[in-house]
Amino acid sequence: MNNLNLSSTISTPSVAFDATGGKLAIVGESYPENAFEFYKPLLAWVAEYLNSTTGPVTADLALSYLNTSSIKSIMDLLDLLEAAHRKGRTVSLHWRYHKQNDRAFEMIQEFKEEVTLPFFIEPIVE
Amino acid sequence: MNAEADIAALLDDRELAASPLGKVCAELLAERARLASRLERISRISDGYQADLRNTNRDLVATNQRLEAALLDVRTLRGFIPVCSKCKKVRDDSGYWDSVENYLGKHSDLVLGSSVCPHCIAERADNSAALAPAAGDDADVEQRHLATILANADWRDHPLRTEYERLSASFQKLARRLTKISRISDGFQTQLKELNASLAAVSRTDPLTGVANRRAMIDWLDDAAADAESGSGTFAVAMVDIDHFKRINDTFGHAVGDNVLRTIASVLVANKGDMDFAARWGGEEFLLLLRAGGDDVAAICERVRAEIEAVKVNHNGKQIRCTVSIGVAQHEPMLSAADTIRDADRALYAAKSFGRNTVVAAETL
Repeated sequence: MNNLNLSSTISTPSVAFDATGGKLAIVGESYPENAFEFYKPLLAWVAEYLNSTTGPVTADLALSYLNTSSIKSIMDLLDLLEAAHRKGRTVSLHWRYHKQNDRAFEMIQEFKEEVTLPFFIEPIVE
Repeated sequence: MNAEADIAALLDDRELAASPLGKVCAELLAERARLASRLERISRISDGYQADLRNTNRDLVATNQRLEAALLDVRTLRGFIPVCSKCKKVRDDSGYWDSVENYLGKHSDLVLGSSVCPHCIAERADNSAALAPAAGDDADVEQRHLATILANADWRDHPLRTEYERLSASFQKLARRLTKISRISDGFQTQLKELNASLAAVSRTDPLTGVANRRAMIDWLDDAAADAESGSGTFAVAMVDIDHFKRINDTFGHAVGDNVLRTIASVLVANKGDMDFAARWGGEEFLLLLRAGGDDVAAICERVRAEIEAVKVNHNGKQIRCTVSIGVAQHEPMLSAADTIRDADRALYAAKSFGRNTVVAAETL
């Protein structure tokens, strides 16, 4: 399977999905005009990857701003990872945030409540 | 296959579809589809709001950067000696600072433009209110509904019973998720709104002295002039200019000059009333907008002048003193705020020519 790499733009995060290492990184801010369209190929890639491979998967998220459609899309991503986790696959998620942003932790916590897979909320040390 | 697809396939069977539980299933299926499309619509509407907030945020950041650049230029200008290009003499009039003010005026057009007019914001709010989810309720209602269906003995062996249970779980999850997504989204919007509010405050504040800047004062003056025009109270303007400020800078350096500016700003703030405003108007010039009238204005200005004369700024153990000249003008309804400022400026010029460290009212000229 090919890797999926996208550079960040002013309203979309950078994406680095590494098929060999099982690492899924999404970093930046996400508020594209049509977030559903933006995330569609990403979700398709992850679904295909989870179906066709068996190794451990690590998701590394550092999303500091999400518009509503992006929030929904990230929840869809969590659903895919959660389903794989429930089937017994090794899945973990790390969500990094800037410590001075005191609201960020609460919002990431909301995402965490949606899943049972290992979910780590980590402050970015500068 | 997911619960929705499974149950839709089962409902292809006419007999099943016609059964009472079949009808309940079809209803829930339709309800689930409605909820899913509502989630998408809410997301799109909410994205529109967030895009507006982001644009405002970008405008504010750009504005603040331009303000910072403009202030930097003013700092550079302050170091120049204003020499008349014709007679080559050092200028002692207010023309030099007028040109600095013009420069500032041109460069700090701090229009806090939001890309959406109030009308559109109200319209959008109406739309989203109509779509506002009662999603938490939906999930609770469905949970109770499921319990009654599972308790119905007639349906214990119904072929759709298990499928209904799955569909119900999927519906409840979607309904709860709708609430959750809305809550997270609200969090992001609040965060951005708070950031914008603090940026807006920054763009109306003079970074050196912490008092309001010229932009904020112009808005206050316009408001005060409108109030005066409508008969709800008049105001006076006091132009406060530091005497021989250039000499202070040249003798002790800009750090001391900055300290002097901060000290004077604090005296102004301490002496103004709750209804009054103080702002840094230009390089070494402050403007007071006083809502009090007549004698009170004169008393306040005299107190400010005397306090500044008495205050000492410490520099390497040396006590530096400074004085200010103040020109005051009472606003006349039917005139513009700019006219009143011109009058105050004229009074200030007179105060300078009377030997500085004094207060002059435009009315006495």
